[in-house]
Amino acid sequence: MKLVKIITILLFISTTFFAQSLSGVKICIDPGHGGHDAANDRHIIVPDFWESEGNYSKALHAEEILTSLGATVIVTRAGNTDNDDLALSVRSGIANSNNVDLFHSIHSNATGTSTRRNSSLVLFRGYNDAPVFPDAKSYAAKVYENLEKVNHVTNLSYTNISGDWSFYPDWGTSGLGVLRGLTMPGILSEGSFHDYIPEAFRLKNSSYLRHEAWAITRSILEHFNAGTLPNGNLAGVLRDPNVNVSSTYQPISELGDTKKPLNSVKATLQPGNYIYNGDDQNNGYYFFDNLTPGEYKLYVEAEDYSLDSSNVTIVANNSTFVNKNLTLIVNENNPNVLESYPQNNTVNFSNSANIEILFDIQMDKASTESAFSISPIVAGTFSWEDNNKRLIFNPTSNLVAGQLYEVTISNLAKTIFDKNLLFGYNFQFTTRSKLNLISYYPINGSDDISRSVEIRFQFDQAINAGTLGGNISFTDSQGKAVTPSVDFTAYSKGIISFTPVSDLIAGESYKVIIGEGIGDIEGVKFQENLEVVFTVENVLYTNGEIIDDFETAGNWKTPQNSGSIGIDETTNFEINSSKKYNGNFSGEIVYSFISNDGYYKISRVNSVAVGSNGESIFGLWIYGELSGNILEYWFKDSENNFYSKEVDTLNFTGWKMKDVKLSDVALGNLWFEGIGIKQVSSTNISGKIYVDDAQYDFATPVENEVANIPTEYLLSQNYPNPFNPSTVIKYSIPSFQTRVGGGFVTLKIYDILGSEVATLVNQRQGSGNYSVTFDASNLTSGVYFYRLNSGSFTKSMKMLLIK
Amino acid sequence: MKISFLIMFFVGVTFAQEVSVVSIDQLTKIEQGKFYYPVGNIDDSKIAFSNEIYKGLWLQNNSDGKIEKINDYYSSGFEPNFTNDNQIVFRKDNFENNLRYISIHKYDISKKAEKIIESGLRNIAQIKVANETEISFSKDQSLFEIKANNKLSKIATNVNPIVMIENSDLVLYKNGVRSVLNPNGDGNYLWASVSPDGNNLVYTFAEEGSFVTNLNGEIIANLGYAHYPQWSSNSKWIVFMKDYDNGELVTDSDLFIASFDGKKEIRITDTKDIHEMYPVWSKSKNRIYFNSTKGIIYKIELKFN
Repeated sequence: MKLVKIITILLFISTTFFAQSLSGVKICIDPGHGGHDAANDRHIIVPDFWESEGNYSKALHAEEILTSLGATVIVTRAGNTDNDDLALSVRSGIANSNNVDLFHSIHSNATGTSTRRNSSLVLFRGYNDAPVFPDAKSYAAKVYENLEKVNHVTNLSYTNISGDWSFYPDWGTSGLGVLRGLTMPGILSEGSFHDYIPEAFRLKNSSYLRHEAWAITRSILEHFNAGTLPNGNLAGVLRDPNVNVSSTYQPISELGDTKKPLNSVKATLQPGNYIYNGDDQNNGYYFFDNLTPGEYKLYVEAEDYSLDSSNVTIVANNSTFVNKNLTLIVNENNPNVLESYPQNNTVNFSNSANIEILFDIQMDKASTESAFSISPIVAGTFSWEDNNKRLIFNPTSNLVAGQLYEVTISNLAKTIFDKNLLFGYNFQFTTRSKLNLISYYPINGSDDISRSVEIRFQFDQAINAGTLGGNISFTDSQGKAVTPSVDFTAYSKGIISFTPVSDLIAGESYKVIIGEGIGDIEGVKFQENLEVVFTVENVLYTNGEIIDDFETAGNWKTPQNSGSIGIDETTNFEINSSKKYNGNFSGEIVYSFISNDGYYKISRVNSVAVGSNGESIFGLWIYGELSGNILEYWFKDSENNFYSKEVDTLNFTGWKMKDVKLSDVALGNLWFEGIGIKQVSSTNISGKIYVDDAQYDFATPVENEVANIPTEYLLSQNYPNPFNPSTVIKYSIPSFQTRVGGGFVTLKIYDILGSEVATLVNQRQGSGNYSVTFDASNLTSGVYFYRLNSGSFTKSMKMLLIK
Repeated sequence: MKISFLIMFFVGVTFAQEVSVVSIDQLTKIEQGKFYYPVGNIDDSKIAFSNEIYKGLWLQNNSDGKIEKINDYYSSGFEPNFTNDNQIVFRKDNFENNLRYISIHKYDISKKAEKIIESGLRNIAQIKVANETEISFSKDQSLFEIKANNKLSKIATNVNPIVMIENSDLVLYKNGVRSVLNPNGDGNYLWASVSPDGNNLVYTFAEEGSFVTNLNGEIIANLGYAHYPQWSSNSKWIVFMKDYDNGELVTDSDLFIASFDGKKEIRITDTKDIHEMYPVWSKSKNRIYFNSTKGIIYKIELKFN
């Protein structure tokens, strides 16, 4: 395993800013559009930098600093999700709706070509010599001047301050959309170029972004003639002067970027004992802000490098820069291998993972790579991390499944100080030999499966879709193939998941076979044949009184406003058309717990009465999942007492009716109030279910003996007849008679004199076919009659008890 | 006037047998200037519009198409309000030491006379005209009204509900009570207005789209991706734009109307060469004004079956 470095960045941030005269000033900070769309949000693969993230971080720093100075700050977006990808009209509309005094859109730049540069650019609306708002041009000049002071940029022979109509002459007077409709002076600043890789590494450092926020703050203070900051900042970059960065970065020597920045630097400032711990993002950056002006002693250090120091003078309203080249400490010791990945004798090692070896001293790359061997021979490439202490071998192709490998580092490997390993080092490991099935659903032999079941096989490695042909089948009891809808996106998670295109037939059995040839992306096969037979639940439901069809938004509060506990910001509820049991929409519940005992809850804006009949059944159609968490319904009574009722474990897929009997909740009038999901353990952290057609007063579900719903009443002759002592009476209730919630049905037994001797049925029932057993143990021999009543239908039949 | 072929193609299309677009007419020419953000007056005889940054106010007669420039003030074209005495209320922004100061002006269209009715205002929310007569704004969480005698007073009880955006909060003033509604939680609210019948309000929540709520802030309808929502005069419909961009330029925008309960949504323009934006319903329920990104004002005539 790679060592995970925990970077602690200790920023010295005084909470006591000297209150300047920004009180009453209203500013709109716009961090551009949000989200992680590679096409629009400027992703730099190395070092995985997103402009949308950098802009937002700068905006939050600026908001904090400006607010501390008394300003009212409106930030156009509240996060960096795809929902924060706001339209241009919305961003300018927010500024206009709030009547701000100034608008500042924060960005970083890219050349869009293979040429690299690093400079700042500030654009205002209009032509260079004819700004739409003259004050925007003067503000732009201030911003540029302050950005150039804090960012590691050059002032090349390149446009730095411009009207957008002059800068984009091909666009006419369209210019930058975000500046188009503003009622106040506004600018757009590009602090630096994020496609210049050394700068992208710096932009990964939150303190570097914060320093830009200070530059913006100084510009705003100047713009409003609001004085200057009484304190100053200190920043710098620590490098190794003897190691060059990759020439592919096109490093700018003027910025010192040709030399390698150090990771995990530590800077200490005295007096005050202020400490800054740097990150591991290859920027070597350290930063202190809001320092009282005066003389300080700065100490800087990094692992394997000697401590260095400087006297520094902090000046009010300014940033002081002290860049340092640190000296590598000579280490005359012989190196040792601290650990390997995989460890010696590891089995079931990934066939596609890298092999890593960690040394305790920086190693000479050439000799160490030459000293590396693996048997059987594997082609691959080398890379280094952790200050040249971690050698990484990346095989060109997958390792052979089930193979024993031996890795050796001979004693020819030496440190950068020319000291060899005293002894060779070797370790063995065995690769995975088999694709393992972790879990699957439905369980073989289960008989309560949803008609819209999602069939799911979870393996321990991403699936190679090309291996599935001929290795998987889905058939009914007649051997006829069932057409599936496949979730192709699940393969990368090691999941084969599919649902029937058409609902399965109640009571019917189905078979799924997955074959030995199914393979993963490492070329490892399943090597088994698994047969899963399941039966669809044989239950028929008739709608009751539907109180929420989940077709309209606005009936539910958010989970955040409904009393949820331990959820993260991705937790949500919305009406959408992703799935539906009925109509066009259903409610989508998405939850993610951040604790071990989280609770998701959504409450209705207005509770809905479900009556006071304790015999009534209340339920919702639930499209389940396999999280193992607990589904609950919430009710309240007339005195606003709230009741939660555990409904079921979420261990199913597809639509299933999940109901509770109201008398099991509480007595008296009840109102449906909400839905809950209870986390059962620390591993059950997230899930997604759908809910549809909340209803009550529907008939008790019955066995669907005949798939077709009856079209007429039927009362059959009891069987056996004569009987002793019990017999079965069958009858049918047609659909046309069933009102919402079912019609009321009675089935009673009478003796030869017409006296009632037993009541077999006395309740509301939905359409369907029913059978009831009549036990006459307590009666004497003789003729008896049974009579069925439902609506206008009445029929009696005779039976004979012979003891 | 020349009308885009694509717009013409769309005219006459009937939607669900309920609403049809009868005509789309171009009301201004590019030679006359680039105009944006149209607003119709009370009897629908005139339209006010502005330039792209809401600087300046122009009036156009619907009868002869003549355009008259009223002023060249900053923000005078931002949400101007016609009153039922044939006047137009607008604002004038001055930036002194780069701080925005707002004055409220009234222009008598018949007499062509302008009057300053309040000046030197800082940090006020929008200027709203309720019931076509009552000019009000909010400041420091209080509602102020400009009386008929042009005197400013803090309102104890406002009869007609007024919705404001105060530091991005959605705030309702009703019967003298200030309520922060924020039905979608904290965030940026904008483009909010009370329906003409005073029963509901529509707004945009930046990250989620537009919504209709009752005056208790309970959401009635989610209009989805819908910007600049504006009420019809009968409070039954809302017109809005669905505008898209690449971060720098608007790449597409079309207009839609939706029933206030969100159950019906009808597209009323479908063009690629014209980006229709900032629609507003006239006092007639059958007429909508809008501007294109190129600065042309248009009029849409609808027919409700």
